[in-house]
Amino acid sequence: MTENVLQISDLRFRWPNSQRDLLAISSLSVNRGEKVFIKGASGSGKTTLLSLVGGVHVPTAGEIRLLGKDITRLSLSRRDHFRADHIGYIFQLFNLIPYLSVLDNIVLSCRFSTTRAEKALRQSGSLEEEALRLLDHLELGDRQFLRQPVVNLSVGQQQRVATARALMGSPEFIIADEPTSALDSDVREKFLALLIQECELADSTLLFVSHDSYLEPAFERSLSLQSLNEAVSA
Amino acid sequence: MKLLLLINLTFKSLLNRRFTAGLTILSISLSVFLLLSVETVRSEARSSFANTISGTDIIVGARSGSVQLLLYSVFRIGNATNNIGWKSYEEITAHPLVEWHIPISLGDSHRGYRVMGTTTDYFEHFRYARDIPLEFAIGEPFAGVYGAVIGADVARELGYQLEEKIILSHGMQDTHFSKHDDKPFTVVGILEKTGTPVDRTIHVSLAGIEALHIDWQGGTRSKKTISAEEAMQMDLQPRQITAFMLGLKSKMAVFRIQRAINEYRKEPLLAILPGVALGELWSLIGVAEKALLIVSVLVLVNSLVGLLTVLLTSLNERRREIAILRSLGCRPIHVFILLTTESFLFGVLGCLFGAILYYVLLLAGQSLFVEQFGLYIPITWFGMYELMIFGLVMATSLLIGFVPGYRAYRHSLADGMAIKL
Repeated sequence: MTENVLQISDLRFRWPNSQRDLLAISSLSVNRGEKVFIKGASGSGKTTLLSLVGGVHVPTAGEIRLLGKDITRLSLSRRDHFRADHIGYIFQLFNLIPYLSVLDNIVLSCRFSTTRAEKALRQSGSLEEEALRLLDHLELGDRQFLRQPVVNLSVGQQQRVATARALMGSPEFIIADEPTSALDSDVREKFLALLIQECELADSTLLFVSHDSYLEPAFERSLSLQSLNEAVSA
Repeated sequence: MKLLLLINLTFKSLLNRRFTAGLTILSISLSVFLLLSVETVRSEARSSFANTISGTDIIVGARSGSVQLLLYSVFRIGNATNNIGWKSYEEITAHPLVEWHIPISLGDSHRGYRVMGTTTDYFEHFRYARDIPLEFAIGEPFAGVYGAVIGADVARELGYQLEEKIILSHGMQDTHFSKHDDKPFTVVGILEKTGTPVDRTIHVSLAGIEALHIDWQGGTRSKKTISAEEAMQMDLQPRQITAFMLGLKSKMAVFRIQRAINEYRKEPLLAILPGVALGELWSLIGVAEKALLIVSVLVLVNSLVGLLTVLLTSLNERRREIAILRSLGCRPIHVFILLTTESFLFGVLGCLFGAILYYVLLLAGQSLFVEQFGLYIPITWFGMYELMIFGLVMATSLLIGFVPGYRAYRHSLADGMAIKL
């Protein structure tokens, strides 16, 4: 059974003071559990697309259906709420809040969403145990590690902690914005493999955006933003 | 729920930036402390000022300014331009409404302390603060010509005991030529501390002052010297005094008597009401007091502007943090609350530490203030003024927090999921 979790139709987006559209996507649909690679050069509107899917920005026209709900019609606070409940985010760099410990950073995603907190508790009994379980899968499973300040971590460790945070409470969507571009090539593949494996386990859909086509083979489906986006400038 | 989380985040974030945060809080604490101290000094100085004299209805001196008369007769500052004839003094004090009177004869000194010639009525009738009479720590009022009663500060600072022989000087200079070294005085009494100029005064009898000057003419010693013993045999009835204080039987008569003295025909005299003259003097000094207050307010404004600077500087560093929180579902209004809470926390901690500093220094310095300035500062719970300062500082810090709060709110809407570095 294939369930449609993301459906974009006739989407157009332009910045308020811009003359032309930055994005124009007539149709894009993603099924539950799919791992989608979206390739795009920097400046092609990747991050903007992710902001639209995350409900931070609203498209100028068109529809974005997430889990069957048109998020463009939700109020600002409902969209924030929706994002907290259903989306885990991984940035390119500096994913962690510097003044919080590893554990506090990971459980933060459950602090803004009771749905995810409940899911995490159902999974492991306590938020700390769930954080530890995820870290263990990501090969950082040392209880001592939880109390560490995040500034002591290597970039690779930071990205794995960020992944654990995104996976906390098994959100339906994991959105990753160039999460590997700051990693060394040997760490990169391992990280990617772990990410995909964890998304499988959590039955989460993964939207992975990168300019690096080298990573493409790891995904079952690959799209190019350039061919997707009809608003490409001359 | 969310609010607790935000407060928790604010605390941890501040702890992470504890050095800059500490300095900012220190700066606010110091200005709060300054404002509290200035107000304490202000009110204590004012009450101590008003405490210098009490119960005296009228002070009479040669015609000059009322503030000047008050200064030399009560505060022992400056000099009289002219004296009053003894006859006038006798005539005025003979008035049936006069209950008591204290003559004051100034002009001599001892090692920088003013000497005041008076009668034993002074120890009986003079009152300060809330109608408190003078008390002897040891000894008694002078009885003979060469007895002296010294104030508490004189005794402490010069280390004088009873039976100490002291040499008075003519005028305020302490040179050899101006010394009345042929007629030494003996300390017969030491007064209790009053916290008024009395503590810095040496009291002798009018006859003693007369004896000192019996062989002086026009500011220098005459050729023919008269010894202390010889002087005692002579007529020591004073011919002039500098001023005198009056206590009346009826307060209703104050203005009548004052007018009568001001219109006294035989000599140009000035009668002042101590309360009124103190008010005049205070309005002069009040300018300095206000300047002090203005400076402390400016210091506070300065540190609050510093707070705004710190908050706006840190905002740029925290844009990343805000984007992360947004990605986790943190709402823009939460971002606003996060930054405003931080600013408010600065204000609250500033007030708290300012108040602690104030109390600690007050506790530590209380005895020092009494010893050095005769200023007893009671340790009391905060009054309306202090609470107003706290309220104002905290409200302002909250308002200041709106600036970075609003900016972060705008950023969080505009930045989206992009991390701006």
